Amino acid sequence: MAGANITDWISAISQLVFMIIFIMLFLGFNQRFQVYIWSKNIKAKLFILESLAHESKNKTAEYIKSLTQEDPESIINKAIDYFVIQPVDIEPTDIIRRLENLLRTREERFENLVKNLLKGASRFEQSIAETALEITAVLYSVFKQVRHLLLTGQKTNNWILIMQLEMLMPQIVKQAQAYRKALDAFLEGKPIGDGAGPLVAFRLIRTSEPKEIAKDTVYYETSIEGRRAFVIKARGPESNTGHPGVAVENLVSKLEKQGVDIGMIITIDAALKLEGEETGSIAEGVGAAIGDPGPEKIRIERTAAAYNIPLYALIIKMSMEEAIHEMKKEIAEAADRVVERIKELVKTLPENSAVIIAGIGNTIGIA
Amino acid sequence: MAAGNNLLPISPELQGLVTIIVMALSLTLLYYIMVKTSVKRKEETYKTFTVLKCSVCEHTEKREFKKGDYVGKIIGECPKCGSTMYIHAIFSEKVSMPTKRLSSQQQKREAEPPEQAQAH
Repeated sequence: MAGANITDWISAISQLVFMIIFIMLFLGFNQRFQVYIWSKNIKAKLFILESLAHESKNKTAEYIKSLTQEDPESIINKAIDYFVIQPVDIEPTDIIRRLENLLRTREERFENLVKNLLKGASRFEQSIAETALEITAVLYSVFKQVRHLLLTGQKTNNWILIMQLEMLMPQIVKQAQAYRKALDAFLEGKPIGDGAGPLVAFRLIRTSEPKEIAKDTVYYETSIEGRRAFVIKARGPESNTGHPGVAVENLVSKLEKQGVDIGMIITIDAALKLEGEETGSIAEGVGAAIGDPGPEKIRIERTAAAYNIPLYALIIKMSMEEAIHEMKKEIAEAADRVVERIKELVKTLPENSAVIIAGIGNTIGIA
Repeated sequence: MAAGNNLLPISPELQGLVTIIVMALSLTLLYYIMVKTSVKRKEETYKTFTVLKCSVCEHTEKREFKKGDYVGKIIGECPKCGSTMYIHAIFSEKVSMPTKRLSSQQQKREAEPPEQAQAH
């Protein structure tokens, strides 16, 4: 009898509990609970983003302090909050020139900030400090954006925004960790995956002397398969991508004036691989292989079109992380295969023709 | 109902308890299977190496990266032909990690700086 009473009680309580849960489901409790769980997860990952940004800031400050007696705090804070307002795009006339002007101004501002602080430092050290500041700025920007979206979602009870953020968080954290790791490679002056283009250029020109053709950009004259070859790359071994678009434009104009017949322009760059593709695999195509926001790429395209020069592209495939981390063995080995491909292409030219080859990418650790 | 209850050799309380235990055991088993079948992340360690090459005889050497190294840097004389050697490549490479516990002697050996290894 006592047993029957207990089972009756258990049954009554469970029915009551189910009834309460059922009513709460209608009141949207499940959604609120789900949003609470998602917000907790996002906060945990936001903490990781914040620590990555702080770590990056501390490492950058340490590096700058090792080069100067002055306090780098104010420069770092200026760099973190620095912004570029995108040009008006509903009126596209001249948009490239306007964008180029903004990018150059930003570049010069960063350079001057670092130059004024690190007066006694070498160009190599200044370039590393500049890159470190840019990486720190990116990490802080990611952290602030995620924090803004989380707080907005919570404030407006926008569970779709929080859900989207929760789904994107693993990818965002992975990319932030990649940037953080990239900082170590830059501070030690090691070549990165994106340096595949400059590495190919180096393999072609090892013995010749560089001549400056644009800001932070040099060219070398050499011979490939009996044809004159002009190889462009950013000036190394600093952390620097140069201005390959301006360099190609200036060089073609200079050579045309001298009466040199330019048979082809070849651009070589690191390119993002699709998942499943092998790191270090190479591919050939046409067009300007360069990943800038536009001004450099359009200069190469316009120059090639203006002088009717065929424009070829060779890419070395890698993931986003591999492009900004230390160069992997597979990528370094791919440089030799690209050199062979260049030779194959150059062989198709008449012997009195010349070729322009541009190795695009950050040339840190590559002279 | 009563006839049905009489057919059971155990009381309803014990029946409930057995159900809970069976459920708990099933969940534990499920968890165990999930843990066992999940893909284990391999421990991957990368080391940065510098490859030196002779500008004349193509002799190459491979050593660990030192701060200040950069591709194209003239590094010294070739031990074979006496010409200049330059840095041909700098890259990171996966190194295999020991899976078993190392003895104290092995640990000592691991701690020693690696000797220059010849690539070719």
